[in-house]
Amino acid sequence: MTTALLDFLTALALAPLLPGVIARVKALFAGRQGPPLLQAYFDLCKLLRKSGVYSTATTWIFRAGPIVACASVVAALALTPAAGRTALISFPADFVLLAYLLACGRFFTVLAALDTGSSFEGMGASREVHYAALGEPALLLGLLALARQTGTMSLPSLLGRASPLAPEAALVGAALFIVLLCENARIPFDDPNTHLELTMIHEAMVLDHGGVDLALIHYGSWLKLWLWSALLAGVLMPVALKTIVTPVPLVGVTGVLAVALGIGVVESCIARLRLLRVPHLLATALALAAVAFILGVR
Amino acid sequence: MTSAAIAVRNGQSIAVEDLPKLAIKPFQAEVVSALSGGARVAAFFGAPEADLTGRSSAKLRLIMALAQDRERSLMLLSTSVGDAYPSLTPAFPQLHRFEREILEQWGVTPEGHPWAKPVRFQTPYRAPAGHAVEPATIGVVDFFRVGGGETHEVAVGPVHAGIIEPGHFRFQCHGEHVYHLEISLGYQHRGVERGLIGAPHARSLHYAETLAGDTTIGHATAYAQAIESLAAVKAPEQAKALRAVALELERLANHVGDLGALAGDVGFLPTLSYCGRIRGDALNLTALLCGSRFGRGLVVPGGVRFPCDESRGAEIRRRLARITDDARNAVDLIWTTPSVTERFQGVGILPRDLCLAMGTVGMAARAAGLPRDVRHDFPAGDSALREIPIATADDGDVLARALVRRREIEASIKFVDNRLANLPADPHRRPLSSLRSRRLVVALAEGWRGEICHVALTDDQGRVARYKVVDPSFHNWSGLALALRDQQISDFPLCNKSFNLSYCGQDL
Amino acid sequence: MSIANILAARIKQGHRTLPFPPDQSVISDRYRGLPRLSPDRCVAGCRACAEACPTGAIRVGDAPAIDMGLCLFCGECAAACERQAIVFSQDYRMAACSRSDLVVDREDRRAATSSAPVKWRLFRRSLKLRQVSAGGCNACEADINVLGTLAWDLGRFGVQFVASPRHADGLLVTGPVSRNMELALRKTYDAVPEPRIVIAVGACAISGGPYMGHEEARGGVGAVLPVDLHIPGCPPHPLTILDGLLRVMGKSDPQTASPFR
Repeated sequence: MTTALLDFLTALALAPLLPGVIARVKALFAGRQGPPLLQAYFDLCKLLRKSGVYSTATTWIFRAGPIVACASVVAALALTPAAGRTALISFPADFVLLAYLLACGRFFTVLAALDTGSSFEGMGASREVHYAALGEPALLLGLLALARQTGTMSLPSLLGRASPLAPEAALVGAALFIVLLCENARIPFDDPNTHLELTMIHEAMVLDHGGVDLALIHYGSWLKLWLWSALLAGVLMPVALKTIVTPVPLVGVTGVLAVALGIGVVESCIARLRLLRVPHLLATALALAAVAFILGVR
Repeated sequence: MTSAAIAVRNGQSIAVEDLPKLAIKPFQAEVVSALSGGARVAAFFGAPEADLTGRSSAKLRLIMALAQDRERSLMLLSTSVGDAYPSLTPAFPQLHRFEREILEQWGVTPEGHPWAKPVRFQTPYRAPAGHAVEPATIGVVDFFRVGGGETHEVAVGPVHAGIIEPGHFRFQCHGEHVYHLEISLGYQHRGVERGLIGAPHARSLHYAETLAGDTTIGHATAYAQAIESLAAVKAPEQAKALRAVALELERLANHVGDLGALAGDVGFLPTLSYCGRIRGDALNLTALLCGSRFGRGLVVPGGVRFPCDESRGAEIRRRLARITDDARNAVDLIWTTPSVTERFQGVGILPRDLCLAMGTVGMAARAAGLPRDVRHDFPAGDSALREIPIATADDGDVLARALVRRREIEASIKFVDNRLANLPADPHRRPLSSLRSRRLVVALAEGWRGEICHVALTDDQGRVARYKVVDPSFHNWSGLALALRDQQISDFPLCNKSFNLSYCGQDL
Repeated sequence: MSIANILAARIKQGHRTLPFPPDQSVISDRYRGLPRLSPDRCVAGCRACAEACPTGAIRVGDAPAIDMGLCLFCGECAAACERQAIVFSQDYRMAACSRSDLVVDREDRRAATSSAPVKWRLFRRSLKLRQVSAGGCNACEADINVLGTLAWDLGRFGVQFVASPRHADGLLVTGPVSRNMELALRKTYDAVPEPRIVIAVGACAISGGPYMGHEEARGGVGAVLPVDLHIPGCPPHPLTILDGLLRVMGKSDPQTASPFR
């Protein structure tokens, strides 16, 4: 229990490191210095000391959105194990609850966006739910495939026993990587640094938040990235590494940072997809997960 | 074809009395015949009759400059109107913005104009009878609307995300599909044309340099050519050569920056990163010439302010060689990375027939297969500019406009390298005498976006009485709006950047 | 394979971020930076520089001075002076917090600028700016854009440009504030959460520049909003902007601080 608590707290503390790592990798590819690794922490500290500006057209939903979104990710993180270890809370089929906690956060973010009545937020929200509706089945089917392969239904044992050498795990890993990029607003789906409001998906929904709300939104998104990276690391990490026991989740953290590195490389090398094609790529992820499932069922 | 219009060369001034003045019907018949024969409108504007004749009059003289690219001639003609005249826009859409501008500035109505909306929301020079001299409230316009249960409108601007000038874009969409885009500008209006009255004075060159800040050399060159022609002064050869070098360096820097920005708009970071830096390097070459990265303070009527000796020229060429390698390396990635090429292909198509109808000039026209280039068609200034090959592409999409830029980068590099190796040994500047009175001149230059047209008219005292600036963006904004039809709204930034039009050049 | 191309290109392009402060060779020898006045060289009654100036930035007489907020750095005054009493140096460090500190007089006079005001301390490590072009000609905007590129890499100092004013800590305004943009500028400012700052970049934003006195423009941001930092130039060199931002964020090495403390 204490190790799980320690893992949970480590995730909460280290999540803001991920955007720094990704930015540094991208800077390396570009040939520039890049922002400091701890930039996200500095941003959070500053945001917490700023006030917010609220439009007279918004209601309590606008203020509730960031709080619920962040809280739901924190709750989902409690279900996520670091590679090879236990999670704070686990029970059979807990991954379904995980998926729906994330969906709950997304739902409130979308509601808050629609509450503003602005067309950009509306467009961002419609794109977000459209793609999420395609990505969620891939996540669930992929984890089900792993459940079938390992014979267990709770996340810690699912991820603990999955081996990347098995074809199911490799396929599920590929599918999860694609959905990770989509859910976390990364290239090729979305450009987190874009200044083009008509192309934004996730960023468009949060254009109107400022101050503490924005801090919660940013922190929530980094926690979500950590969560997804931990899931992916759990699937792709060799079983031998997962069995190493350490008081702190060293292996898990390394796995997450390796995924962040991979995200940085992908973002530096390919262009964004035209939004029309995003469903095709998500369908590919679903297909990969389906094949993994079928392989397990035969 | 015989014509009542007078033919002039680029930069050749005529006496105001020699400007043909026709009655409205023969004027329009001439214009119709010329436009149907393949000419296009370079400028069409109003000037008070009093400015031209020196006698007071309530009438407005409408002056038209027609460009015939194939024949390489500029035709000038004019007519005098009262409060209204029949609009030619329904037959020739390329006139629409010019007629709207005349309406806004002088209160003279183009009867039958289907789209008589404000161009700049500026204070009129003269109000229509019975109206106060008030500008219309910006942004308040009858936007064209598409009806239907599932359609929606998206309004962007004036302040849009990103470091860019303001403009308003109104999309009529169905989901992600755009049916119609309407662009409403005027946010950058600063009163340049009004300020240029009385030129040359202490600020007139600065107005020319800052009216479109990234096209400083283009506009300053056109201004200098106009003033020199009015003063009957010829710029020395070294000055013309240096102006040409600076013009091509400006083209190079902007095109490299644009290709990087296009890559950035699709999230392709390598080219974005490298081109951003390379553009800075190219701007530093212009700074070597005159101390300002944008070419401020280089071009003056009479020549250029700074000479370029051998060692400076050699230094620029040395740095240019390094830039060439880096630029080719960075830009080629666009064509060798399928995910990028796929984003550019077939997007934002402005086909040849629409370019002809809307009078599109410059890069956008060349990308649709229309070889319109002032350096070739209306040569003035340095004769070596004529040797630069015209870069064209065929498809009129974003990829074609990127290809045109890439070809022009190569051509400009070659030109600068050769020209600096062979600079004429003249003085770099001649003193300017006073301007002749009662003259009219049309000066064209090929700015990096396209054709820049300056028309100047002097009064009895040899001071500018009226100055008209037509930036290439004035022609091309309509092209952008049309190119967005039946496109995805998320492709708009890419299309916008592929045209990269000037907001302040349109707004003056 | 395109990733191989990309890696090859990266190796060729190399790491190009310039150190700050950079080597002086980065600036052209013809660059017109901080003006220096030597009034003891003036001829009594001569007004050549003041008359050559397009915006009236020069005051002659007992205490000659040049107002960098009005100056377009065109160099006409230096060209008009036969005694080299006014020259433009290569010093790019010209930004100032208060408008009056932009007025340069004798060569060795120091204008006392207060050190980074308290307001800026919150932004020492993280400054998010929303750029607004209020009639700018696009040159200042281009030089601001260039700050994000490799060579200058504004991101390494924790400064970033954001899409929404609600995400921003302040506005970076260019242009003389055309009348048609005044309302949009005010609304954008209202949308920035407190504490907030306003930075005016370029001669137009500080005083109207060439458009001073035009009825179509308001004559600079100061006429509409309270300005916390002024960066002169037409357009200001990216180094001038960077130096101004860093000094006010308290990140500049005091050893290299300009005479304008």
